[in-house]
Amino acid sequence: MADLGYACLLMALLCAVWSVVSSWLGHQMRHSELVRSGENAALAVATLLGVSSLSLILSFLADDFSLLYVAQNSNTTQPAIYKVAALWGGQAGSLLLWVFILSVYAAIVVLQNRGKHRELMPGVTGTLMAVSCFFLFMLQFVSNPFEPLPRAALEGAGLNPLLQNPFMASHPPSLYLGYVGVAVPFAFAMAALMAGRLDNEWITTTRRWSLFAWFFLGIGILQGGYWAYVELGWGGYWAWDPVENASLMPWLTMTAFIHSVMIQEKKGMLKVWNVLLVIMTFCLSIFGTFITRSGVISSVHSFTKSSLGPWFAVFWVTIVCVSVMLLIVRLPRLRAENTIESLLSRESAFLFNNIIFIAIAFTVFWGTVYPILSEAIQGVKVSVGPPWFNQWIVPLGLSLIFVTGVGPLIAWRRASGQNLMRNFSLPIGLALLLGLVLFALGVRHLRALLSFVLCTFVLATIAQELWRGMRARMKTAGEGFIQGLTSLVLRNKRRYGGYLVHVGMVMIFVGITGSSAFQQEVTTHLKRGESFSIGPYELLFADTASSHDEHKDVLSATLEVSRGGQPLTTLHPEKHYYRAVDQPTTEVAIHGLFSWPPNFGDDLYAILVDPDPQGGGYTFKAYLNPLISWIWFGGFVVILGTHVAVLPEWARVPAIRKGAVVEVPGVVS
Amino acid sequence: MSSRNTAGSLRNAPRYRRATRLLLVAALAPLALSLHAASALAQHETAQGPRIAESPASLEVTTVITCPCGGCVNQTLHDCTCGFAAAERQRINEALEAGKTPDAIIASYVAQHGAQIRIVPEKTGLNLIGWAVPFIAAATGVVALTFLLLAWRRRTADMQTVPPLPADADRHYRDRLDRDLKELDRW
Repeated sequence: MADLGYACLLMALLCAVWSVVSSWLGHQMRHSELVRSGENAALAVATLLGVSSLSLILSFLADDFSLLYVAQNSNTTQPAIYKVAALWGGQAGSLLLWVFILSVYAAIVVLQNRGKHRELMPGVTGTLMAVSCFFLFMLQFVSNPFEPLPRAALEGAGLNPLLQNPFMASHPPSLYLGYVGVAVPFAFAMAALMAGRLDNEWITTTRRWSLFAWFFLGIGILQGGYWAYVELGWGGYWAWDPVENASLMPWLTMTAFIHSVMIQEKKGMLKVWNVLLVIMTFCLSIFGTFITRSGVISSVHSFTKSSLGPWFAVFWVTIVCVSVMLLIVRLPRLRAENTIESLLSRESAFLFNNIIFIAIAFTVFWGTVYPILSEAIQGVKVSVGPPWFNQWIVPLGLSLIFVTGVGPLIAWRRASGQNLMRNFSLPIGLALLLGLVLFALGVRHLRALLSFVLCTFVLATIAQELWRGMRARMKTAGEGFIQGLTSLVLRNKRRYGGYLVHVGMVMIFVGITGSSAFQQEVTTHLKRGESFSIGPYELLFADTASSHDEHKDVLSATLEVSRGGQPLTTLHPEKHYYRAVDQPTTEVAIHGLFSWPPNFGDDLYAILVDPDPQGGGYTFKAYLNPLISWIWFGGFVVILGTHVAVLPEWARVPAIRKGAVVEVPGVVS
Repeated sequence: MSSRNTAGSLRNAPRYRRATRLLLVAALAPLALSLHAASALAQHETAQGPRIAESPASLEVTTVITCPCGGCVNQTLHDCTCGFAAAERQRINEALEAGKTPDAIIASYVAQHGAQIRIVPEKTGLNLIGWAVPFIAAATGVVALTFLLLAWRRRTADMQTVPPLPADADRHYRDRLDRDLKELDRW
């Protein structure tokens, strides 16, 4: 099985090389058969890598410990789901998954474009396969998942205990779907630069791919946050860890791209900027893979360390140089067709939105690489932790919320005083009113207050837009509430899907604000029968229990939770002592959104810190995280909004009857 | 006029009134959500029961020093729940009771583990650049964009203020050119 997998890897490398060569030759010689041959080779790469990945999974399921990678990341007692997940539990398997996903994307692109975009396709296939060549080279010569052991091991080491969590089975593939998905818009951008076809063709063709990559990156980040929240046991979900940062950066630049392409589509502007954003996003995606896999920066995610660093560095620099050179060569043909007429316009708002996204991405990048720079320049290793990031990201984030409210409603070209009054007076009034209400209710945290006011402003602008659109449909088409809402959304899926995404993002901001600004914590040392309280909850330490399985010993505490004297639930924080690992892991117990009965307002988060055998007591830590469930709710709304935005064209509704007067909400074209 | 009438009649329709009520609720949703937020945030009751409270002096150290166990990257001693961090917190309390100042304890950690034991670099020397670069970059970006937008706006305004050429401008120009050429021939 392993031999078959390895042979497929080797053949995939040869096919990928041929695909690059024939695509390039086909383009230069205008030879369509060569181009087609390159595309067929790309299809072959996908098939071969599918077989290779499958054979590695089967090796895991068969406990084939003659392979080093299997022996390092699995053992006989590991549940089947984690045996499959072990494919991406280590470095070589992750690289295999990366390139397999890339080859599948390349195959889809080839099949989608058999009869169209023929000028672009050689460049697209060539770029995607050139990237594949690098990863396949790494898998062949640097990090081979099929490397045999001199003598088969009797038992494997098993997957890192921290990775044995359902979210770790889905979080890395989600992130990889996003990271790798970025390669498709990048390949189209490179192809457009190579072929000199610099109109909107590559933008419109890759719109869904961009959203797809953006969506999976975002979902991957959220899943990672939830994994950190339930698994790492420090009461938070985001620690500005380098690997977390690595996934956030391409997401930020991709978000900027998704916004700025609208300006190119509608006004023929920002062509250079859009190409630059796609290049940045892809470079950051490769940088993210490099950070995750090289171990060059200390991270809680450094499950694997290796000698991949220099190879990735060379690859990264090559991509940057080639793509920027191509861009410079084509600069004269990327002139804007229009200019901006006023600072108070939707174009300006989108540009400021882009600047803020890039500023956040740059800040995250700088904070991530600063330890390396400091060591190289000063010879001193430093850490850059959450306080550093929060100092810069919070004000930038608040500005971003403000622009999120302004951008969709301000007029194109030039906003008049009337337009501003009409669109913003009610939302601003509501936001200020709610600020006063919160202040009167005792909220004094300035940044939090500002955040809630801005979030309310955005929600109110969206509610106002919906109201105006609905009113127009009801007046002109005579539709009812549900029908009106449905037809309004389906007639402009991109806009209203986008609004839903904005609502989801605002909810995430509310959750972040509440859980970071108003978090409470208690550390306590208890004996059985003693209790403590946090916020409105009382926690009684009732008992402990011990158990064990093949891998670990488990110490579990029972905390009976009540509120206002009424029993509410029972929490079981645990400590796991894996025999193969020195350090115990913490299994937190949460009374929150996903517990029963669900708790919507706040999360009660309990940790068994340490048993104290001498004193006979146990140390517990409890957090109260207000509004944290809004983050996960917001994630669902973002998912919903993205799906609405990419709904296919068949999801149409009949047009408003002829001759009817339609008030288009908030838009002055 | 007719649309106004339609709107007027619609305002009286039960369906329209029902929708208006629903949309009013939707518009006030932010209010409700914020009130929910406020009620969640207002739960600042004092915690009861036995507790291990860190003294302000201890917090000065534990919120600055990261857990040195090697596995808990980017977690301060205050946040970290591993056994190593608990032992370190105990050590810090003992050092404080022995009369050491928080700054002296931090300095001893830095001497033992290097500057990376601090959760953020000190704002001194070259590290000041590390702290300031994001601000400088963001400010430069905003200023550059503002200038760019103003330049674009000026260009657009210039294009709009150039008077259109009269229809017979071309004929005038050709007549004058002919005259000039004739005079040139005379020489």
